[in-house]
This record gives sequence, structure tokens and C-alpha cells, in this order.
Amino acid sequence: MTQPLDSVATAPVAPSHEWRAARVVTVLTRLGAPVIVLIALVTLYVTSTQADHNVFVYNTFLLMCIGSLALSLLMGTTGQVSAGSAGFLAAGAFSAVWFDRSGMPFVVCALGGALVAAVLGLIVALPAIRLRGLALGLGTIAAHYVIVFVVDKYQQDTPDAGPAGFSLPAVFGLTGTNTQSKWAWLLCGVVTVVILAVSRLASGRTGRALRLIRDQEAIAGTQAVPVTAYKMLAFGASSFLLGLQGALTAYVAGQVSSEQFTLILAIQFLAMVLVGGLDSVFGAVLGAAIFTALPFVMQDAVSAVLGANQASLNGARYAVIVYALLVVVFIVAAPAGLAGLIRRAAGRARTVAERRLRRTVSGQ
Amino acid sequence: MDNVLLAVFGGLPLGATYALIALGLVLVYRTTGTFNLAHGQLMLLGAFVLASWQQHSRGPFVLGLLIGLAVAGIVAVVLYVLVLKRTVGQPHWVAFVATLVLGQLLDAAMSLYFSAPSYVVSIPGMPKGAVAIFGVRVGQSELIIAGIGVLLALVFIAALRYTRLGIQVRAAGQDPVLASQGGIQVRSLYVGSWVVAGILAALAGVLYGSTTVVDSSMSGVALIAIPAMVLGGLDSFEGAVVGGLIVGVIQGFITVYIGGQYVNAATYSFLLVLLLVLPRGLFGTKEVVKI
Amino acid sequence: MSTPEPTEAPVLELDGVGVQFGGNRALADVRAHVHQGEIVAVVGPNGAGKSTLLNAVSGLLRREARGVVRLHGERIDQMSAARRTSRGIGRSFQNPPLIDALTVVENVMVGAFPSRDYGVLGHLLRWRTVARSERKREEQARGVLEFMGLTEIADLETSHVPYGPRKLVDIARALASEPSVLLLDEPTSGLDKNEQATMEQILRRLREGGGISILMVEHHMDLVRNSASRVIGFQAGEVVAQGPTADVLDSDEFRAALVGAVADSRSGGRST
Repeated sequence: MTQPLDSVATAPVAPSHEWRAARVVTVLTRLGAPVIVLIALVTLYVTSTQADHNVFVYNTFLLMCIGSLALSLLMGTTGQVSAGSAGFLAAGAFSAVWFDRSGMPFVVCALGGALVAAVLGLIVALPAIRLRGLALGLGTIAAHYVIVFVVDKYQQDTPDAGPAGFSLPAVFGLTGTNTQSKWAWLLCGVVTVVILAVSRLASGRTGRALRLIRDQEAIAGTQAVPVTAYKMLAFGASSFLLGLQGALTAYVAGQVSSEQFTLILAIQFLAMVLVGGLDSVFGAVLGAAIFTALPFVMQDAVSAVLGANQASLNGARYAVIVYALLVVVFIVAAPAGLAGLIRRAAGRARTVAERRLRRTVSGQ
Repeated sequence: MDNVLLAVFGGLPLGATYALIALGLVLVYRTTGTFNLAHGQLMLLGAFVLASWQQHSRGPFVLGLLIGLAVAGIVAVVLYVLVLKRTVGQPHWVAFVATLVLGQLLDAAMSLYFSAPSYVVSIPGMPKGAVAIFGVRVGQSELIIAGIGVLLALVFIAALRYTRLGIQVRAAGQDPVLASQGGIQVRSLYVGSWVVAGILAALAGVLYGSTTVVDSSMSGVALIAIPAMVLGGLDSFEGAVVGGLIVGVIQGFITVYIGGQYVNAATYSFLLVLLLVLPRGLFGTKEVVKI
Repeated sequence: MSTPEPTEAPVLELDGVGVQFGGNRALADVRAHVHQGEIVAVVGPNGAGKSTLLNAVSGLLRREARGVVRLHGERIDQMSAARRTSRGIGRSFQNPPLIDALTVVENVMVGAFPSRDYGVLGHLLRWRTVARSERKREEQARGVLEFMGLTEIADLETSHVPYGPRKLVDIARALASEPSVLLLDEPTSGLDKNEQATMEQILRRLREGGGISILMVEHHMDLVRNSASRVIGFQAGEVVAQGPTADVLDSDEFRAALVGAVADSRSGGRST
């Protein structure tokens, strides 16, 4: 069985050095290891040089990473769309509030919020996932509005929730002068675990099954891949992570209100992974970074061009226009996102080597 | 009994609007396979243009209406040609995301251009009074709007049924390759269907806007029409009208019996249940499910 | 090319297999068998129901298919496609359903999915087990690729692989599930002369190995003549001839009935 076919085998071509180097890069990127190191270094830099307010902005980026990695797994690796991200964030945040008000410790509240979001995700996905295609997209839009309605009702019916929503107490050990820096390290740890988990699910046996569902769903059955179960897994895992992000965001900010969770936010999540690059840990993190920075950059840009008055009045609208144009350009010209563009640039040396290989293959 | 009638007559004008929205959605879905989630923004655009025409110029209503319809139709085509046409061959959800994002783009651009918080569309000759039907007082203008909406929807369906162009639309949606071999200009049909969908959206926007104020919240109305489209079967024109009217009346009942604040949540819950128990809708063809 | 009729029980046995799509009968009452180590070719004009037969056997048409399918004497016709794969049915497709973003060797490893060393939770937590299992799978996949003469492209991203080798990769994927019966759907369609010769080599190797029995749909009569020991002739969903390759291919009835297929093989075009 392992005996080579003499007449079929072509003259051996030793893979060149560039090609080997590029392959090592590919493997490392897939594991997410460089991204973890990068995030740890940036966290070190930000916490040791920046003021509390800037660290807070950095923390919102780390929080965004959780959801963006979740969506990359769901959309990029499994090929299932969800417009319900904001709803699952809300479910996580408000479940955490509810647990907190029942006197649970922080860890229980955060994980409990994530679990509630995961269960809701599975309930929504079950009918839609069997139908394939658009049904899941439409179902998640519906789920978004239903969840946001429920949390809004909860907020309105709770007497001590003010107009700005619920306030959350400081978490034990995360108080004092450098609260945001302490959060930054905690979140850095959480993001590391999430990167490891997501890149693991997206690699090996499970990853191959998820990508088979994405690219060749019709034959997944013949490969003994349980299509519905794996889609549910991807959807459950991503709602869990979004719920976790929601709960942690509520604690980091110290308060949460139902008004934060708009469909616009859910669309931004979609935009984030599309621009960053799907099915890529690096792309997800890059997307989160871009979309955290964009509002600030746009504020400055609008202020410089149209004046400070316009910036405070309409800055957010210009930011939306820029991000929407960004998404459109990427959809039309570079569907693999920024990560794809970078990969392509980095792999240029490799393509030369590959072309040589290809010539041998097709010439056999 | 009064409450029942109140619910029905309250729901019909909404239902007629949903029917018009769903018709536009079905049209581009059938021809180009795109589920246009920016339809609500096209509604709003048409209404905005007409409203600001009425506010700033003393020109005739009809001219303003035509300009509004034309602008919405042109923008719809621009969306299709510049973006959505180019998502062919990419995963099906790319177009889905693209329309969502384009909707955001239009929303932001419109709120920069039409900077007043709200506008008013008034259809001339609309009576202000109310009439009593079986003892229930119903606004005349609302009845007329329901009538106009249903009439427009029926005219549209008749046109699709009995004109050459309509038959071509149906054929191109069924099998583009076969249709093009049969001498149908598939590409111009696609562009044409986006124009018509934009016009339908603007009509729905004007009708809906005349019952309330025109502001940014209107773009969400098209999303609430999605249950109507799913109930009708996603790809059925007749289904879109029936589904629209049913969803409108259901909302009328929810308003009367449960309370206005529950309307949206209940409608979206209805969509979730619909996807579970009746994914093909009332009139959907079997092929649609495999999207 | 004539092999003596084996005497033991057949590996794959079809009895009264039929397929009905709505009101259309695509396949009627097929009776056929494949013995250990044998290559049986299914020939016939386009639309005769050949691929439908493979779909019925591999379990892709569970709702539409009727009749009895036995593998090693065990009835598999009520099983899901997944269970049939784990029982030993491997399957290639006319249009190779590969995952473009993965490398060739990873695509072959997809075929090893049914053998399960750990669940999803295990995948997250038991890193050593996963690594060991992955190494084993990769080694096995590379073995299959070596057998197929594809070692050179094992680490290429599949999107860069041209059509011909893709078909080989698809067969390698099917072999990675270690099947006892391999169903090949037009293995040489769309291949050039050299690639067809490669395919013939591979079929010969597989037959000489003796462990795998093959049921293949094929349009190229030269390949059928050189590789298959028996032929099943199809027309309009019905078996019109069945027997040793030379007997069937040279019979006048076959020539008359299957003129479409022969013409197709001459043109050498990719059929749909």
C-alpha cells in the first residue's frame, strides 16, 4: 500500500528554503502563537506607559477580540452567518447582572452569562441550522430583537436601574489605583485562552470537519461528519464567547444599559471579521483593533477637516460611512480580508516555489 | 367584536405596506438571489426626498413623488451594480452581510444630508375624518392607504402574470441559463428588477410615512416585513401580499389585545416559530430551501 | 483481460435496487455484485443512472432508494451515509469536493474522519492524545499520497492544484477511510492522456493489492477494457448487459445499445 508507483512519481523536486520558511509561518499562524505573544507584549506596553483612560480603550479592544474570534470561528471556519451578536452580548451582560444581583461571585456571573447566551444561541440555531443558508441569518436578526426586548423590559421593570442602566460593583482584587491595568492583564489571559480554544477547534479533526461543512456540505455525510451537531457546536461556542464578552464588558465599564445593544453593533461585528479576514485568528484580532480604533481616528480626522463642532455632532456618522465603505471594498476586491492580503504578500516567495512545483505536477 | 374589528382595521394599512415591501424583497430575491436588508433604507430615502421636496419647493406633489421614486430606484441599482453583483461566487452570506452594511451606509449618509430630526409627507386630498364601520370608528386616510397599497400590489402581480416582461422575470428567476438561451436579456432584467424594487420600496415609504413622521426609525420597518416574506414563502409574489396582510393584521391584534410595546418582539418571535414549523411558508417552492 | 469467476460470496451485493425521484424512475431493479479484489465497471450513455447507482449505494439517496444492498453479507441499505463509510464504503466524486483552503494532505485526512480517537472536548483538552492521533492520521494520509504518486504536492494548498491531480486527491481521500469497497465516479473524466495513464496504473495497483473491491462508473472504454474484470451496461436506468468485460464490450447488442458511451469515450470530453 505504501509502495510508490514508479512510473507515476515525478522527478523529485526538493522544496526550496523560502518554501519551507513560508510553511513554518503558515503553521505558526494557524496555531495563533504569534498573536498571543503580540497581545502580551502590547498589554505590557500599554499597562506600563498609558494612563487609565487609554488602558480602558485598550481593554475594549481586548473584549472585542473575544467576540471577533467567536464570529471568525462561526462564519470563517464553519460558513454560518449570524446577525445576532449584539443580542448574545446583551444576553451575557444582563444574565451577569441578574446573577450579580442574586449575590453570586464574579466568576460565576461571567461564566453564567456566557452559558445563558450559549443556550439561547442553541435554541435560536436549532430550527434555522437545519434549513441552511439565509434562514440562520434571518433567525438571528429576529433573535436579536427578541433578546434586546427582554433585557430592556428587565431594565425598565427593575426600580433601582437608573436611566443609564445597571451599575455593577467593582470586582474583588480589581480595585484601587490601577483598576484598568489589572483588568487589562485579566482580559489578556482570557483572550489567550480564547485564542487557544478557537484555533484548536479550527484545527485538526474538528477543523477539517467544520471546513468540510463550509465548503462541501453535500458530501459531509459520506465522511461521517455529523453536520447539524457540528454547526450547533460552532454556534453554541460562538454565542458562549459573545456572552462572555458581554458579561466582562459590563464589569469593566461598571455599568450596562439595554440601549448599547443595537443591530448596528451586530453589523459592526460582521464588518470586523470581514475586514480583518475570516477563518484566521490574526484576522479576527486585526479586525477588532481596526474597529476599536476607527471611531477615535475618525473623530480626529473629522475634527481636522470639518472642525470640532462637526466632529462632536456627526463624527460617529462619518465613522459608519468609512467602515461601511471599507467593508464594501474588501467584499468586492479582497474577500480574504487584511489577513489574506498580508498572507499573500508574505507568501510571494512561496508562490514562486509553488509555481515551479505546479509545473512539475501538471507536466507529469 | 369591536376590538376584533379595531385590530383588523388597525392592521390592514400596515399589512398593505408590508405587502409592498415584501414584493420588492421577493422580486430581487427571485431574480438575483439577494436578500436585500437595505430595503428599509430605500423606503426611507424615497420618503425623505418627497418630504424635503414638499418642505422646500412649492412644486406639485406628483413631481416630488416621481423624483423620490426615481432616486430610490437609482440608488438600488447602484447598490446592485457596484457591490451585490460582485458577490456572485462568494459564500451566500457575503451578500447578506453586504446589504446589512450598505443599509448602515445609507442610514449614516441620509442622516448627514437630511439633517432635521423628522420630516412630514402629506398626500394631497387625503381626508382627515373617520368613518364608522360596524360601529367602529376607522380613520379614512388609513383605509385609503390600505386600499392604495393593496391596489398597487395587485397591479404589480397582474403585470408580472400577464405581461411579457413579467413572464421573463419569472423565467430568469427559475433558470438564468435557460432563460438567456431563450433570448431573455438576463442582465438587464436583473438591473430592471432592482430599479422596480427600489421604486416599490419608495412607494411603501411614502405610504407608511404619510401615516406617521418620516425619521430614521423607518428603515427598521422593512426588517419587520421579513416575517411576511417568510410566511409567503420567500419566493412567491402572491405569498408576499398574503403574508404582508396577515402579519399586519396579527400586529393589529397584538396592539389591541396585548399592547403596542410588544408588537416588534412578538413579530420577531413569530418569525422564529415560523422558521421552526413552516420554513417553506404558505406558497414557497421546494427549491428555495436549498439556498 | 479475463479473471476466473471467484467462488466465495461477493463483497458487495445489490438486489432490486431502484431509485425514484418524485414521479421519475431513475433506476430500476438493479441486480449486481462485486467480488473480493475485483473491478467492475458501470458503463452507459449520459443520464443512464450510473451516478445515481453510486449515490444509492453510498447512502446519499436514502429517501429515494429502494432495494437491498449488502456489504460482506450485512444489509447496509437502511444505514446513513456516515455508517456506510465506517462499514467500509469509500467514494470518489466526479467533481472532486475538496477544501481549497487546506493542503492536499489535510484533504486526505478528511477521509479519516470516521475513525475517532477523541471527541470535541477531548480535542480541546487532551493535547497529547490529539497530537499522537494527528501524527498517525498524517502518516497514513502521506502513505496514501505516496501510493497515488502525489507526495510532491502533499503540502501544497489545494487551491493551487490543477484538475487532474485533484481527482487523484479525491480518490486518496476515499482511500484514507480504509474502505473495502471503493466507488469511483468517472475517475478519468476531464483528464488528459498522461493523467489517464496514471489512473490506469493506480487501478492496476489497487487490484493487485487485492484488498479493495471497486465499482466504477467510467466512460473511457480503453480504461474499462484494461482494468475491469466485469462490466454492467446501463441504459435508461436499467441493466441491459452484464458479464465479463470482453464479452460485454464486444457483443453486438452492447455496441448497438451503448453507442452513446462509445462515442463519448472517443471524444474524450469531460462529461457532466
